[in-house]
Amino acid sequence: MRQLSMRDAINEALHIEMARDPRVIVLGEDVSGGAGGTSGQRDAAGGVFGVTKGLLPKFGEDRVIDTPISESAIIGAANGAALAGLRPVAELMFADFLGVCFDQVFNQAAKFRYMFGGKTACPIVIRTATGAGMNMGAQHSQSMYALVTGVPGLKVVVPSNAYDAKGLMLTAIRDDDPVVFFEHKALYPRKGPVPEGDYTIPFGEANLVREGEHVTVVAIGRMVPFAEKALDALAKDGITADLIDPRTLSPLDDETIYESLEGTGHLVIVDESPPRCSVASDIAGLVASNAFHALKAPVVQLTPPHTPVPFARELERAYVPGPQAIEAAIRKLLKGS
Amino acid sequence: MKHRIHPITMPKWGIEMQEGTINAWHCAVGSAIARGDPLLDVETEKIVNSVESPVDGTLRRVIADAGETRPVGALLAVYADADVTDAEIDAFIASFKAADASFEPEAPAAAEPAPATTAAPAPAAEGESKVSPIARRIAERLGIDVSRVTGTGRHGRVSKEDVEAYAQARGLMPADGGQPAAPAAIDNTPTREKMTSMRLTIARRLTESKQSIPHYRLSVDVDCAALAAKRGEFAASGRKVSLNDLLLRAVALTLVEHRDVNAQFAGDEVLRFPHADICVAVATGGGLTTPILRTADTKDAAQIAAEVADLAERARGARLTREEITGGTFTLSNLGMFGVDRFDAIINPPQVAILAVGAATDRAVVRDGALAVARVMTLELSCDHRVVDGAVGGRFLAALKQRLENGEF
Amino acid sequence: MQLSRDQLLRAYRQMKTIREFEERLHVEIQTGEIPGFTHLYSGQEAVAVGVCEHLTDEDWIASTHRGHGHCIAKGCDVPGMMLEIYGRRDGLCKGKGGSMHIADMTKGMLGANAIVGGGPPIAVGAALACKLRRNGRVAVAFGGDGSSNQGTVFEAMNLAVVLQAPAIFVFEHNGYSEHTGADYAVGSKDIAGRARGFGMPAEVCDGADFFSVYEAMGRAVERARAGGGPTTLEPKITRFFGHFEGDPMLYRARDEVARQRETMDCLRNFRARVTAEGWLADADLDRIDAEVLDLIDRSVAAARTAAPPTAADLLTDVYVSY
Repeated sequence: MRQLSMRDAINEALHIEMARDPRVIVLGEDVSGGAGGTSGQRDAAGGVFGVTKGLLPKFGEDRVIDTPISESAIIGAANGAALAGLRPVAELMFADFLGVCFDQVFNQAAKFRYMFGGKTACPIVIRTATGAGMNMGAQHSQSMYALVTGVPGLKVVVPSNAYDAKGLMLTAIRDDDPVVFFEHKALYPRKGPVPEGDYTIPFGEANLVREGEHVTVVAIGRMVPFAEKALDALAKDGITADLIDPRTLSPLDDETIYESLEGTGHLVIVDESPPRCSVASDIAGLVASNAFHALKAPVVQLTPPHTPVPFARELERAYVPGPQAIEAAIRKLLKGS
Repeated sequence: MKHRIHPITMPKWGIEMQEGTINAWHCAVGSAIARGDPLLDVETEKIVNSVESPVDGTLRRVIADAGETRPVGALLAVYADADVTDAEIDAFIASFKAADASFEPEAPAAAEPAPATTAAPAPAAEGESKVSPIARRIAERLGIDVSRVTGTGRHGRVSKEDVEAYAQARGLMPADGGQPAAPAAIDNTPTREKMTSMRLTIARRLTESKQSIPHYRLSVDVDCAALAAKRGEFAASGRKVSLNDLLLRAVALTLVEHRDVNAQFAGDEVLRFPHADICVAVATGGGLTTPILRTADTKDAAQIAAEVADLAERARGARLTREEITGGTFTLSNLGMFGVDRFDAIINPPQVAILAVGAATDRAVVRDGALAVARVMTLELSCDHRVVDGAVGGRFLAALKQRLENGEF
Repeated sequence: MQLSRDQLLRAYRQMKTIREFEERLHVEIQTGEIPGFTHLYSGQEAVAVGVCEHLTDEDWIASTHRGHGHCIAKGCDVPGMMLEIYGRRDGLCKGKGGSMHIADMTKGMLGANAIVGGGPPIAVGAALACKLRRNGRVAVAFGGDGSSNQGTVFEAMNLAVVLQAPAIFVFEHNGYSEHTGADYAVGSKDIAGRARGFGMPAEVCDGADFFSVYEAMGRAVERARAGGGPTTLEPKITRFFGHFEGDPMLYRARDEVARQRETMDCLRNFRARVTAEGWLADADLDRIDAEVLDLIDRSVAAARTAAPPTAADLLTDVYVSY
């Protein structure tokens, strides 16, 4: 099958949906770029990571909107446009900028439908670049998905590969609820098979990336390819695992995790967000409540330490859980049981 | 800053750049080079660009040759003053520590080439059969009723492999090709060469074009007498223009009168252009490239000759800018120099037509009811039927023939 | 406002240090040794220096993602900054912050900031502290034309007026918010006018002319120290490099930077003015040039070979106590 980078896969999904549904608009900082510049060249950026490249020439300035650096206004305007019948895809250049516009995300978008007694919907997608690994420092590298996963009314997507990213993006835009879509910046250039044309991946259905016997590994975003690497190494010693990629954190397909645990009895959760009130701790809590009988050993939560994301290469490499750390955690868990 | 030995390393040009491929060296070992002169060309996923010499010096050692891909920070070459010995350079290379710009966590582990061995699937147990989400997805895509698939996973779970095996057994999905038998006596081992990103781009775009564009072809023979006469006029006035330069001008003038052909296809829109930006196919070491002769209709043949020569030369040196290879409203491809009589060309999307030019050869023609010998070339126009109907293409080609034979260019 | 010979020499040294620091980083970043991404200040030196030459270590500044110039102008240690940018253990922030988070409280430097519009509210708070202590100190918020469109900045400006805080907002109008032109993104095209709308005086000055910035800042600082409340300055300026290193600058006319390096170079303008007026000789400036070059050479050489932080450093400095 055709190989596409995750960047191009998301770009293709945006092209497909903008062509299919005239209500879809894209707005954000430099989503096209070059407006008011001296070269006269538009589409000069296509987003700082190039994900929205080519949309402006195809769909025009009315639907591909460069905004000033004004995150609250970007998300607020997307909310208002959604209430008034459009389907905005708003880009937050970095997920860390959620801090600037959090009111519009968690007081406004998340709550309209409930507060208004189901009379309206707010079908926005907030696309945002997430994650550490490129030495961008404490304010451009965070994994903040736990923060929005905990807000009722928001749906949260964290794709781990190009195929899923395209299908999940099409689902996200067509979904009638507000969706926060976290794109890991280190995964943007990573290629994988992506079919042509239109396909969707349902929310709330985990991907069982691999099947095995000894341990269940739940991994999120960039942690999925890292876990695969770790499992490749373990396979040489005959250790196999169910590798579960939840793909959407809200809704969460916890059933698949419980079902897997019935077979393996061992759980390792790999999450790039900090450990407290994290997705890892949330899943561990759910498992303790709902599948305690299946556990043969304590749940392992493999996350970065409870610190901001550091800058120096050596520190960031120590911060992010990598394939070797995952492999070691699994070996330790299985040895102890 | 005075350096007796200076390393040249793979540059980092963008936030995401991790590696680059050396396209060409512009400087040979032993030659002196001045600060700011182009030293080598590097190709990334996004661009081809020149690395300029950071200092004045003499290139003493090249460590990575053209065609090789190296990570950011890797040592590519060494400059050194004349009084530096080879042994000192060897020592410098041996002790050189490359910058580690990788985005991978932890220390890079040694590659382990041994393939992973997977454990045998557990026997199916009694009880309810379950389906993994990915298996369900594949089954849906292939139109398979998943309840008919026998699960071999734990607790009889239907896995992706089960669905694929079921599909392959019923011809719903291609099986993996078996290894062909190796020839017994004659060694015919192929050489392996990594495709450059430029070559991969060509492959992708041409496949896309051939598969998705409904091509049709029209051909016409053109009497080259007027072309030859015009070329003679130029030569007489001391200006050198080729048949191809004249052809470009004639094509450009015809295109602006037939804007249905001077067009691009953009999904649900057709863009028609008032001027002809003609892509000229140039064969380079790295593959086909098509630099653009902008607003060719506004230029005379001598101007065209000069610009095409410049574009072709820079194309061969991989020194074209992105602007010079982006866009274009039409393409002209000429294989006449290889003695090819005629050929059909693949459209360069989003353009809607391409002209394939064969060799001008002496052929028997019927003139006023009698056989005669004339210099004739065959033009073959490939059109995208989604945009250019047969009559439109036909009118364009007829007008071009008329213009060429009447010398109106 | 006539400056002494020493003041002129110092201003030139500061601007030259910023320029060489940034031009050298532009080269060194291509080696791949420097982690992350970096935003260079070349071209804007007269603004940082024209403003900070009025300040002492007890005055505060809040900076931006393009912060190296502000740091140097406010007196941060240059080799320490270089170490930080290389992510070294002995860097000004122990390698934990990097290019976008250099800070030094002992120099009144509240930090570079990777959030556009993050700094101005912080500066208002620092100005409030100065006001309550009645110490005659001020706080400066640096920002660009891009930050002038952030709600946080509007809120900070209004609050400074309401509190009559000794705050000075400096909007370095370099024409681009990242990859988009200010002509498009700043609706009114008039940042000083916006400030007046909030109820504070505002002045436009020439960011390529040290003396224009210095004099405007002189009036603002005098007002603030005297209890006259906030002021906005809008120096018109350009940046000589992209938004970040590696930005292909497709939004800028091809020869724009080359042209601006000819006409809007504050160092060249400064040298022309001070030698024409007979205040300084070329030889004075040439000597500084050589000393600065040496400082930058030494800083880079030290940073390249300095030790990185260790894994144990990862866990320190999260809290004061825990």
